[in-house]
Amino acid sequence: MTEMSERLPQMKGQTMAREELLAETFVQLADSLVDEFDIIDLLTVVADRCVELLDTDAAGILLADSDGNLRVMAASNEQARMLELFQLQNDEGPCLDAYSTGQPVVCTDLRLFSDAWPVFASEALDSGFLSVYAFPLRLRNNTLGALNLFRTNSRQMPETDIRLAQALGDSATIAILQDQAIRDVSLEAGRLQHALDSRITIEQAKGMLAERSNIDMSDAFERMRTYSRANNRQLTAVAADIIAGTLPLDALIPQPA
Amino acid sequence: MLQVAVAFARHISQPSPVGLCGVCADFLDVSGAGITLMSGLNSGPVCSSNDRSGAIEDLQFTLGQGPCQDAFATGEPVTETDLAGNRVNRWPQFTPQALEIGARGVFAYPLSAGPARIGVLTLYQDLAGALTEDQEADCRAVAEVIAQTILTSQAASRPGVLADELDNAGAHRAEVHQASGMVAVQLGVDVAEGALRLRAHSYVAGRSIADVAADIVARRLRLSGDDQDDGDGGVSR
Repeated sequence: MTEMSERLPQMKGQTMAREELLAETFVQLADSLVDEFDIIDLLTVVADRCVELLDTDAAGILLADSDGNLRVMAASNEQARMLELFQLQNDEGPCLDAYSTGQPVVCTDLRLFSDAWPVFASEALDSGFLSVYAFPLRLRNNTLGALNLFRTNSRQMPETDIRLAQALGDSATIAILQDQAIRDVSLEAGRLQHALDSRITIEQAKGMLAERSNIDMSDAFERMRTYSRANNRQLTAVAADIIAGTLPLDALIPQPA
Repeated sequence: MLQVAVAFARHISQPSPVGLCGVCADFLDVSGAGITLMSGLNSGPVCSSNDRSGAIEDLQFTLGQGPCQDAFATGEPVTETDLAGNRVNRWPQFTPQALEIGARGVFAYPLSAGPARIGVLTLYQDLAGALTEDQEADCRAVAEVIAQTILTSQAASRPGVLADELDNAGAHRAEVHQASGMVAVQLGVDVAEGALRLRAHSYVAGRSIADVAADIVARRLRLSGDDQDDGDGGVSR
């Protein structure tokens, strides 16, 4: 993702038109999805671009883990990160509401929201923020997290900015889903290799036992299985110990009753 | 790409990786196809479309060398359009024996699962020449479908247990690993070393590792301590 930041010339307050920057941002996000990418880097870019492109002073992204617990994945600055964490710790705030309802949450004046979020509203005001816009990261009915914009003014955010924030959120959603798909398939590949390795380990251990006791492979296997059951251990673990030499071959010779 | 996948999926009657090789060879219009499952240095056959492609798979496993290993290591397709061509030889041991088996062109496509790799699709041609652009595109597509098919078969299995169809296909090369264990005890070395000795013996004896392993498991052959690099010298029958 450093590559992405390097490719992008300094923009805020510079000559590059907003539209150009916008187009470039989406092209970069799409490009980065084609190659291997780091989801945290990518979400950090999204948070940074929100601040550069939209009428907002800070941005943060929350993402639910596989157990449904929200985590702070990216923030444009430390203040935004602290505010996100604060919401998680106190279990209240606009970002949590956007995640749980799957709907955008608009709060143009935090001073009016001390009933809804007493702890968060006062903390955000103390940090100098006046308004918050929170957008769910959502694909159809599946809400993955939330994109949150923290602002020091209480103006209405322009309609174009709102649509843009949603579009950036959608890009983030696609990246998150792709990242999860890659993780899933990597996990499956790992399981397959583990299964193959286990099978090989068992065959090798069978060979060692068969050679040592001059028995055939099925007797060797039976001996390993008997030992595994008697000692309440997995067959693969017993085989691995035999190969590592930590379980002597003679320990598996059946004891006469 | 999607069209190819769909066509290929329709072409196979059952979603089992084991029946795929014949279909691959027909569909891709090549002389033979073999699918190998790989994990680190270990590898095992899932299927091969004919005896020659089976022999090419065995040869690469015996030598630990060939397009299959390169494709797995790099994650990129590996192509040799003419093994008999007069150019720098990347596989000094593999090439002459592959030619003897009857392969002129070899093409290996990694089977990828996200960033991970699970095996290789190896194709051979009995005549020299490049694959067409369409064939190449189809090979990549077919490799994706095969990878997915293998993962799908394994997904139905209990964790840590190899799927029945892969197991039955001999993807774990049972005899080779049994023989490695036996050789380890015979020579008083660890299993990794036993496997190396087995491989070295096979290479020097000019036999496939599967054949040598079968002899060892049947106790027709023992490797003795001085059997490191002198072929049959250390063999007692």
